[in-house]
Amino acid sequence: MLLGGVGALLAILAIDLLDAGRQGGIGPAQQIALGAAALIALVGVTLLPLGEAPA
Amino acid sequence: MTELPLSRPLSASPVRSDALLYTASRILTIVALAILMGYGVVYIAYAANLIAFPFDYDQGEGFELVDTLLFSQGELPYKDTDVYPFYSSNYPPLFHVMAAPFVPVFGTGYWYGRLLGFLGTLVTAGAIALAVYREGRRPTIALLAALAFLASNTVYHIGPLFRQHMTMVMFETLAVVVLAHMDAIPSLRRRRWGLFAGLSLVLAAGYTKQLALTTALAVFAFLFIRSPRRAIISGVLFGLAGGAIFLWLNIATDGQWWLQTISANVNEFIPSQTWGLYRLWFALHGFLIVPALMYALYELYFSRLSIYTIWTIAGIGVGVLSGKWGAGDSYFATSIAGICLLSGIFFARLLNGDLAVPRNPIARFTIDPLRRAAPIVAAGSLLLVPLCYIGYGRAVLHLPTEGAGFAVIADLLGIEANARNGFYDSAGRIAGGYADIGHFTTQADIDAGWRIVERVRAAPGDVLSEEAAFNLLADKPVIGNPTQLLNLANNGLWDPTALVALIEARQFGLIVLRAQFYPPDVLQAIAAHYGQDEVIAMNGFNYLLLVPKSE
Repeated sequence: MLLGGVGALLAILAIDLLDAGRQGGIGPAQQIALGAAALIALVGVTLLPLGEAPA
Repeated sequence: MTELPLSRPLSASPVRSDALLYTASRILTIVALAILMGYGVVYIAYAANLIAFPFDYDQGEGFELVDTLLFSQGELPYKDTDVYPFYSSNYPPLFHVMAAPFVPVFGTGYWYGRLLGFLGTLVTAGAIALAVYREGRRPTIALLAALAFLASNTVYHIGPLFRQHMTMVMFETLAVVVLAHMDAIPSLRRRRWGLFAGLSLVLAAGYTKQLALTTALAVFAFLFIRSPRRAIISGVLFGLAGGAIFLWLNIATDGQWWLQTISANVNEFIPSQTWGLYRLWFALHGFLIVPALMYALYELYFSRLSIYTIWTIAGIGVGVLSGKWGAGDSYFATSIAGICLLSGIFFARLLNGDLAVPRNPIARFTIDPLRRAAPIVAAGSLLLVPLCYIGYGRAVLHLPTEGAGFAVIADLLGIEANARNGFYDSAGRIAGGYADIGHFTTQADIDAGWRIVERVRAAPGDVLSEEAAFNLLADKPVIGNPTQLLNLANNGLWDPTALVALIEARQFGLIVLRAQFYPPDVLQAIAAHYGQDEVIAMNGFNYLLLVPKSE
């Protein structure tokens, strides 16, 4: 989840870096997606102490 | 690893206080059941009322009927909207295919589509009850969870419509219930059949409505967690099956399938609508959302993630899309099924005292300090569980304030109508995108509908109507699907020239408008060449009847 969340964060930001968005700046949909990705990464961090326990 | 229960059964507590507690719990549970069964009565009455109503109730229902009629004639409804009659569907086919066999037997009618939608919600409620019972062996909680689903304001007002959304939710729910315990099946052959059945239901959901994509993602996330190899193999086969149907539809419609159901569905996103609907969703369902999320956290940190949890979280996530133009609170229906199911499992397991917590670093800081309170948790849960359902019952309050029986209850509760046709809805329509329906129709509405049909029938030539029922009942062709034309126009995918030319030439003997959802070019042409002749109120909405202006 941590890797997925961080990967998603980078991918969403890359939309603007690569200029794939139709309008400049981080739009509302992107903001929501960034928030969700950050939340996933944060949950992933809290799972680290559980080690190898299966999901 | 040592595991200790989060709560314990009450047998160790003093006998007398136990008896009092159980009596109080039983009384509260009966009250909760009575409240939620009351909503069941309101729901059945509403469904019966709508099934008997012969016209469009929710905007666009008639076009679902048109799709059904086309399928019954062996035609696909994904057509070129640049040419007469400018009609196309933007929804996948399965719901309409299910309704199509009714057409040769019963002809053109709304009742069978509405009946299918209504029955779909009952099947979903049954699946929720089954899942909760299977996990907790508590029939009362299973019943409360199922009734809670039907009592949701959102489920109530869209359930008995001629729309595919709740049928999609039915397939989604059935899919996760089938797949949840697949790994426990000892026979490999039967396990494979279980997987096949579950994934077929996911596919059915996807070909009922596109929104089921998130359920597909949730299902494969679950399969991947449990067995990556199986998830990849089944995912490839699933993709091939789904892709083959997709490709066939696209080839058979000369690309219109892609244009009408995918490209045209990219709509403007309104963030305030999304936030408003999330707030409303929480205000209405919070008494079950919080326990459901607590159970999700329990699984995440102290157990294994079930398909129910992954699916519910995905369902909550897809609510983000409710901010699209044309979307609304129906986008939360999957999450509502999920939270009813998950909270039911949580309540049942809490009451059973079988929420085991392993000794792990997270438990050390969060649960261990509370372990001594386990008997209090158990005692409290006996009251808290029915109280949650009672609180939920209060939050989702909705009922007619007029008519036999309902008026008395409304008076007792001290509520007054805050919606059309004498209806109270605690949702209060405070968020954009919340469907402005739920009220009952009246004989006056039916009479008004027939007056519009008579006007359509008497009009010379074709009639451009924003709702299909009037044309269908007057035996005139249905011209265009306004919201779909608007979707296409907003994406620069529709050429209005041909339709605008017909309007400018005053070729339509009558135009019937309700919400004026046509693209701007069409509305401007109508304003320039047609004038208002009559306004007929039906079902709480004003229908504008326009005739050609004199040259």
